[in-house]
Amino acid sequence: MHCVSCIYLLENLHKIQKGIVCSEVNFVKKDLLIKYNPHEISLRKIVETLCAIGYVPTINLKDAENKLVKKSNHTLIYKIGIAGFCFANIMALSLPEYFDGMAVLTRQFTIIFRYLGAILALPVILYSAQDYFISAWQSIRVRRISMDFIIAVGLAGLVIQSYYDVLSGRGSGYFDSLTGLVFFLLISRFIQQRTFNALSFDRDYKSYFPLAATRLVNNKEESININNLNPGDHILLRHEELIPADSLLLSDAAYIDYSFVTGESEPQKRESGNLIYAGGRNKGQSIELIVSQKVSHSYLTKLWNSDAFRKKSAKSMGQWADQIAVYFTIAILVIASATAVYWWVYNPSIIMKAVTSVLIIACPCVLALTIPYTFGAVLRVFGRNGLYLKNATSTEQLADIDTIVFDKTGTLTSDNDFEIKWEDGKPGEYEQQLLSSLIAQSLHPVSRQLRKEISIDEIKFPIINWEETVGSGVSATIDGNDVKLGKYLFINPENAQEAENDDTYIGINGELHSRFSIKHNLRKDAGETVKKLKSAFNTFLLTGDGERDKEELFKYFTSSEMRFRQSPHDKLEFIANEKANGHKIMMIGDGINDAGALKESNFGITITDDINAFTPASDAILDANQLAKLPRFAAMAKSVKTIILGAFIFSAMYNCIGLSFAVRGVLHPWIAAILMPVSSITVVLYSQLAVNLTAKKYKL
Amino acid sequence: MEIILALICISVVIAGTFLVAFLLSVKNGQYDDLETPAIRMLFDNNEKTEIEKEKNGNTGN
Repeated sequence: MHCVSCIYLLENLHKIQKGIVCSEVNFVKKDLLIKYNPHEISLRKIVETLCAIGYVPTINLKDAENKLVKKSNHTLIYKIGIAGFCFANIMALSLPEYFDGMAVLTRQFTIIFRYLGAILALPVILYSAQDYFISAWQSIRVRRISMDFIIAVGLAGLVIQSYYDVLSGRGSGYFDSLTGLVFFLLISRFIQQRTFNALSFDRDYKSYFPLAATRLVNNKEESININNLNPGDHILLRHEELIPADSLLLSDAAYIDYSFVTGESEPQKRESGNLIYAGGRNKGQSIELIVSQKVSHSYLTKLWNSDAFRKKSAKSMGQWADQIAVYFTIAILVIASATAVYWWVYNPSIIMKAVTSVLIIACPCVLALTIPYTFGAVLRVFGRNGLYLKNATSTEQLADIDTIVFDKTGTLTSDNDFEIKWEDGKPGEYEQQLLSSLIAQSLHPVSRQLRKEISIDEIKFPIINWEETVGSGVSATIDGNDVKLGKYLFINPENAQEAENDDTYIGINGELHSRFSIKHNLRKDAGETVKKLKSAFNTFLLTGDGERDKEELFKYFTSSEMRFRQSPHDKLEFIANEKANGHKIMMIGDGINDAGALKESNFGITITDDINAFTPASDAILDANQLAKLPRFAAMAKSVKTIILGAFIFSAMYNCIGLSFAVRGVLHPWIAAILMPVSSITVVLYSQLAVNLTAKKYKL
Repeated sequence: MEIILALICISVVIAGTFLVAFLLSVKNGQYDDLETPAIRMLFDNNEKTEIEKEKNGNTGN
């Protein structure tokens, strides 16, 4: 789904296909909801129609499992709505008193207004603000000071003081400040939660696996949900299909592409009787397998479920906020006790009022607002530039990075960007014609890559005796010539002493004609990006591949920075070791083979050509075309710290003004009512402005 | 002066009605998708010929 016409077409499906009642698009989530009449049309037919018009639906295990589990994330909006409603009404009710209403209003009216305010504040305290109190209670139980804890203390101070004032008839209380504060805080929380709806950051193997497999029962094919596959089942796998469970190979030989699982870019050859691990993709001919493990017990799924692959998610506003909160608490305690001591000496009757005033005004609401607003603004700037953060607080992790680890296949290199190197010169026109005829039907990756290289569309010659030998090559008789393409031994079986290498040979009429090798190029800008990053970060390269592209990589990495033939577990361990040495690590990878490393790292980035395609769980998704911006992303994330520091100064300034009233015990409700919105609004404007300026500075 | 009391009651009730309306609209999912309806309103929904065109021409994107 890209544009208006897509929505138009999809929402008018009922006019194209009989039996569909109506359809509704959610453009952001890329969802299509179809209502249809099962008596008139089958689900299968609908899917076929969709495919026919070019919208192939994604069918995978994950979606099938959380069918109709509708995420209701409305609670926060309810809370904001209620807080806003109460805030506005209480504000209106308190205004008359601020404007010296005592002269105009009778005493009776003043009391009624105060009580109305006190009643309206109840839903805010009991419902809207409950998260802060719950979170504070949790941090007390783990004996840790968090931002929410101080906010809750401030709120509690406001509540107690306000109800005391109103019930004892001493004053109007701070209900407007209280509700306004909750309202602004909830909005900042809402901003913090907002992220990119259409992207999934927590995908696991379930979104990678297909929904069904083809099972053979008495030589008949039937579709079966892969969760119901049992050991001993006989399954059939066609070209490009995914192996759903660990299985034994029945067919003679198979080529399995494990690039997503292990990072090796070349398909692996497996022979009859070999155990084939789930997650690989069958390349070439259809193969038959016997399932040896249930899907949930397969090697890959076990790897995924192992504890090392789970990263605990911090739910707080982030580490910085909590670090600041500690200093804040100490400062407040010092000021509050100093105030208490002072008034105990000079005028013990206002100790209570002065101390609660300190607690109220020192509430770090300004900081609590800035951090989400700043992170939220950064999130949007990054999103505009092709780096999609999982949530706003991940900016913080990104800012602390000092080491960057790259995966090679699919990350620095691109699967679609390769070069064919002819060892003995490119074949002539006639030979190219022969070759293009030969490979036209072959599905092997080398054939497909070669097809792009020679790009002759027309096939002029009839093809006789076409044969593909799995693991060796293809051969056919074309225009009277015996043409062969494949491994050296396939072309020249007698001459076995020739060194076996990865090159592909072309034989015409039994003679070696030429040979070529395929080199995957680094992505455009990848090399430059690595060079730039080297000035500020330690860089490493981990790859599942052998040392094939070593020379190319030496331009950018020293040999001590490269690790070859790394299994997913090696990668994970490498990151864990570096972490143990006190480094903060960013991992950039693309496949399931990096999934563990991505999770173990402090900040995992998945790089992908299509941001809606499957990506393993990570903290951020980077559009592959934007790789060159990575150094600037990192630099910008670092300067976010300065922005937050600026907000801290703002916050301190407002607190000093407020505290100067509070310690004297003269914090009138109207002072709080003015200070609170003014400080909130200025600080939000400040962070927005600061982020925009920084973005401009880094040209993002 | 007592009329103010009545006015306040009325205003709170009216504001409350809007609050309920807002909460209901959230509950019914009006705020779940803010993009598509904005685009959808641009469509003509009573032209048969347009649909025929769509059917034949605009299929690939």
